[in-house]
Amino acid sequence: MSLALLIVSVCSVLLALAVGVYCVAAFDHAVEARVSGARGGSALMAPLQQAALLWYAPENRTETSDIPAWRVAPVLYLMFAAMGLALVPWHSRFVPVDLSTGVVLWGAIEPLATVVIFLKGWAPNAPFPILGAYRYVSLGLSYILVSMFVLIGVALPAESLQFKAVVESQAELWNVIRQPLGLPLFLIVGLGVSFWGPLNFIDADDLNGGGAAEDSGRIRLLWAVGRAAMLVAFSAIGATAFLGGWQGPWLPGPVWLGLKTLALLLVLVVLGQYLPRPGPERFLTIAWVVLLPLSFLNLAWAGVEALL
Amino acid sequence: MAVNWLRKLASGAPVPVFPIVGRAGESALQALYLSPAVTVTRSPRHARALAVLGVIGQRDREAFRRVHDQVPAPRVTFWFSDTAIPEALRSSVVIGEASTDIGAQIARAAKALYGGQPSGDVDMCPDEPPAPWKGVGDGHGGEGMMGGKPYGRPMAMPEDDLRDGLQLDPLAFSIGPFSPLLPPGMVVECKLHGDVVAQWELVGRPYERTLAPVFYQALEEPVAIADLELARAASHLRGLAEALQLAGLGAYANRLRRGAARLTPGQSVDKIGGSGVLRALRWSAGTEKGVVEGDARVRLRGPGARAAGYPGDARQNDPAYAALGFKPVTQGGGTCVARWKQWIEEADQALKLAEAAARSQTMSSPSGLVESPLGPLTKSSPLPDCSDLIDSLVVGLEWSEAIAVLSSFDLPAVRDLDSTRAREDAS
Repeated sequence: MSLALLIVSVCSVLLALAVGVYCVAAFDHAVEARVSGARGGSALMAPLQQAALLWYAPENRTETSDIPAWRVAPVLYLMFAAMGLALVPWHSRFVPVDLSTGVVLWGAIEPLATVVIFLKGWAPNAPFPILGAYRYVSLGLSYILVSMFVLIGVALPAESLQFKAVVESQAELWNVIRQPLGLPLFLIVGLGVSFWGPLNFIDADDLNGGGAAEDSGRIRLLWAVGRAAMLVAFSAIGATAFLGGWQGPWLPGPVWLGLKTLALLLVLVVLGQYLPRPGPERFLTIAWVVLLPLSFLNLAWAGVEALL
Repeated sequence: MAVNWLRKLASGAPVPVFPIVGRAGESALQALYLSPAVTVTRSPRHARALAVLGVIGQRDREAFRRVHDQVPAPRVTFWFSDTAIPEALRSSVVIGEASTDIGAQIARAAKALYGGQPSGDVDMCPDEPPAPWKGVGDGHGGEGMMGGKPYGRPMAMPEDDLRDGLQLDPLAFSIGPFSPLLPPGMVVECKLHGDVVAQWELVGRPYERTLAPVFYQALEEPVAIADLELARAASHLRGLAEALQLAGLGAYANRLRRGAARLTPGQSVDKIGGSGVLRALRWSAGTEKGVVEGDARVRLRGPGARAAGYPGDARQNDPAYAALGFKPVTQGGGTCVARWKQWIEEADQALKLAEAAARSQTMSSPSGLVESPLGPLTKSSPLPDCSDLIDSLVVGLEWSEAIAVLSSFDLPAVRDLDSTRAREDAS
């Protein structure tokens, strides 16, 4: 990889992250204002104002906390989201990190996120953050398994674990039609790993903010940015794996990918404001008894389709 | 230049405020929720300002000091309370005025603080560990690690889990009196096994609830039934708003709070809160838990008792209500979701009654007994606290279920007429 290509790749990932995170915050504010009927505050300015407020807010300490872990966990989580975004092909000729095993790397990011989320909950040495962390650890495996089976499903028709090949395999028919269960299951996993909306068990209000209950200032800002970035990464991977990625008529490939990613982001944000959070145990049952068998079914369907 | 621009951006955001709600602080809290100038936070760590609303009991002054210091400094402390201002805060506290939007007052003070003037208030607790090392050794090994109290607290030792007998480390902590998860003033000591409540002990009862003035007025003189019923509907909708908030539907909770503040006769709860969302509460945590049975139904009184099938309602004795065709709404089961449903249906019924009563200008018939949103209210015996009922209902539940169950009750005692009147006279 030439230096120029490296710089362009890094810049494109950072730009996608910045724009995506801003869009998540703006969508979320707009949907929230629409639902609550609150007046005042522009959806375009609100994310910037909130970020500036947190930037200047003082940092917090708790008794015998693990400060390095507290600081590093949000950075690592944000980094995982960036790694996921780097795997997304913008065009057949431009993929920031074009791994032949990109699907496997993405699959590895999800369990690593579990470690980081637990670290984040453990570091402040306080009850609510650790409870949030416990919850994620108990749920994380069910997300990872569903995600893995769904992604193997899209790799089968491509006969490759490379995201570029997955997009190319959808030239005639997008995976969202070929494997109709795949995208909804993947989006549920996205909500879970980003702990967003109905699957926000970690930073939930019934734990007064849970994993983030003791955060303030820039750590809280980083954590919020990381969660939004993970949602962006899931949307971009979802658009790549199920909606044909860069493919589409008239418009340039990257524009298509951006539009599809934004559409999925909007769906996730709207779901976040409209759906209540079930009890963690009830969701765990749903994950193992309903979602996991559905992901097997999706995989079996993909296998049969690949054989035919 | 860029720094100034960033600061200007920050000052455009609503100010995050953590409310400390004391006696008679409920209406000020609702005003905070409705103010666009502030956002109400669930954790003091997320706030830049602390709002003291209502009277803090002597028992809770130490807790106040701790919560105060948990708001990261520099902070604004806003005082909208009859409680004496602590000596340490006397020069820095911002005293609220009842005449203007309290959210706007807090925002003004906080934005002055962002600009660097004044410097905010001082910490109230000493800067030293509240529970210093008491074990033997340097903290890694020694007697303290096995059965001692290294940081003034017992080390977590494995206990049998409630459900499957697996050995788990219990997590013991106390919560309250200013936690948004509990009614104001309530203090609980609990022990969790993982996410499951293994022990729940009430150590401080919540402050008495102050009802809308119309309920006290109705004890002594005829009042418009439309006013009584609108106040009842507003109270139930605020209870539901808390349940929605806990279920992760903060936007809908705010919508309901806004709706409750400007109710008009004849509205429907579905339109105010969104029918789909209220139905969706069935999917949230704890819906089938917290079952109230037997004598507890009677002790519970009001909507909580009616949700368990007990039809007692003082409005049945009022001829004015009989003329409006009033019949109490009841549910079966006495579960958490039954109590939410009871609030929804009673609020809906109240809005319809208010419409009919407004049309015929019906007044209540004072008999010394009024059905308040929490239960029957009399001059001589105000409603007692029944928060101890929770202890046995939440053990064995997951934390999210326990908190949902708690949010489905109205447990505090109700302030009596005399103390409410004395407060009005004083103000």
